Order: sequence, then C-alpha cells, then structure tokens
Amino acid sequence: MNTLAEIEAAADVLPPEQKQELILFLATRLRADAVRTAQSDVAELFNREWDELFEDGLESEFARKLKCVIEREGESAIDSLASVVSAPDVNEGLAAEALRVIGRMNDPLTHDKRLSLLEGALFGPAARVRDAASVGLASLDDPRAIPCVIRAINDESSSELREDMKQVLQQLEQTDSCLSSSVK
Amino acid sequence: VPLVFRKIEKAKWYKTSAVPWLAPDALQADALSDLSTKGNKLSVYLVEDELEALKRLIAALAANRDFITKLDYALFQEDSLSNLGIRVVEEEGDTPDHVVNTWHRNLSEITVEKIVSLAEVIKNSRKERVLEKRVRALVIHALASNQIDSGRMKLGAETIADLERSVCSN
Repeated sequence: MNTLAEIEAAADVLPPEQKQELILFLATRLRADAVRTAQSDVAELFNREWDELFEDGLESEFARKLKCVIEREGESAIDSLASVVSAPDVNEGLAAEALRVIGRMNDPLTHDKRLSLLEGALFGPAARVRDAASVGLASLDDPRAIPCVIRAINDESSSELREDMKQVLQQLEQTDSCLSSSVK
Repeated sequence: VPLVFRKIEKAKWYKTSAVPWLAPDALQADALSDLSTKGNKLSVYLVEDELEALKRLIAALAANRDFITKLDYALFQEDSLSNLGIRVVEEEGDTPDHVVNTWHRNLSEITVEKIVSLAEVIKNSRKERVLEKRVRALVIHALASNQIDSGRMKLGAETIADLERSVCSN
C-alpha cells in the first residue's frame, strides 16, 4: 500500500473495533507531531538572539512571534513554554516577557493552560520571572488564581515583590466579588 | 513641592532580598536600561497635585503605547535634580493630553556620572505599580472627561474602539 487511496480502502474493510484502534493510533501520532512542532518552535524562539529591549506597552518582535506560535499550536505550545520557562538556565528577560504576553492574550482555547503556567511560575527561582507571572495573572484576571497567589505571597522572600503580589490579589478578589454579585 | 515622575520597570530595581547574587545596597545593571537617554536627554514629568495629576499622567502615557498594560514608575523630589547638578529643560511632551504635555521636562546634558547618581536617587525613591485593569479604567475616565484627544492615541484600532464603547456605556 503506497497511496492514501489504498490505505483508505484497506481501512474501510476493517472491523469496527480495529477502525477505532486505527483512529486512536492516528490521533496519538498527530498529537505527538503537534507537541514536537510546538517544542521546536518555542525552543527556537528562546534560542535566538534578540537585540531588543522589552518595554511595557510596546509590542516586541518576540511577543508577536510567540503569540503566532500559541495561536497555531494551541495548548501544545503552552506545555512547551512551561518546560522552557521552568528550566534553570532560562533567559529571565525572555521568560518574563513570555509570561506577560500569555497573560494578555485573549484566546479562550488556551486560557486554562495559560492560567496554570502562570500559577506555577509564581514559585520560580527568579524574582523577575515571579513578578512577570503575577503581572500575567493580573492581566488574565481569573479569580481561580486567588489560592495560588495567596500561597505565593506567603512564600515570597522579597518584600517589594510581596507588595506587588498583594495588589494583584486585591484585584482578583474584586473581580471575584463582581462576578459573584452579577451571578446573584 | 513638585515630584519628578519617571517610567521604570520595578523588577529591574529589586534589591538583594529578591536577587540573591546582588550585594546589599547594590543595583542590578538592568536598571540602567530604564534610564536610557536620547541625545543625552532623559524624559520625565513634573507632578504638582500628586493624586489627580498622577491619574491623568498615567492615562496619558498609557494612551501613548501600543497596548494597555501595567505601568511602573518612580517618584522623587525635584530638588534631588538640582542637588545632582542636572539641568531641567521645559519641553512639550507628545502624549494625547495637552495639559500633561506641559508637565514634561527633559533632563539635559546628562553624563554617565549623572545617570548613575540619578539611579541612586531612584533606588531610594518611591516606586509604584498600576495594574492593567486600573490603567484601562484611568484611560476610559480620561477619554470620557475629554482630557485625552482620541485621535492622537497610539493604541491599536481595536483597543481604541473597545475603550470608546466603554466610555459610551458608562
């Protein structure tokens, strides 16, 4: 069997259980391919030399490219980003910019994954990355992050960062109470 | 007494409790990127009435960006500049708020030594953060009260349309 038509014809005559197995096999392979592509796209972004300074409110080339990868690869890209951001030798500036970007994105399909990546990054080793995670969570404005932010505040060794996280917590609590009162 | 306002990124000014490799009282070198000069000039704003002026200034600066996001800044006494021998020149700003533009000053004839001294002043100054959601609310307020000329905003068309919808629904 060499052509797609021949493979389709062969699949057509399979008994139903084997057709189901074939579908599962293909789905697994497709997922693996997507993960591999996302991993290499995200790694490429972090391995490149960026000679730009990241400034609040100015769209960086890195941010634009990262958003494209996430829009294209979806949750696989967020998974890949999570492992890059948590690596001990990560470029802190890029990791921080990436966390701010995923907080700002308005993409319902990856919302939950982005939320958990940001929550996890609150406990990273670099203060700059923890700060960016809290800024990202403030942009995402999802009150489900409240327990994590409280834990991060309790764990935080830097008083400056702790104060900034408290501000994020306050905002999330306000959003929570607005959402609760609009439901009533 | 007017205060000097300079946009910064707070994380670059963290002290040793947040950055373990940093010696006590030292500053991260990245902090200098918040003080990058153009033509040996550094842009700042003078604010007289702290609370209201700050809100207006933040809205004007936010409207001058690509997108709405948090804004970090440092505030310090104006006399710190004269103590450092820094020349302050009145020069109109380029925000969409013509009143805020009159608060703009350029710190001129800046040398490396003066930048380092200024970094010391900022290190010990008040540093604040306004989160994205609050920044957005301030821009909406500034638009609704005609402080900002919407035609001069640098924000993306989609963001401007969204802000204008919010102004109408308020």
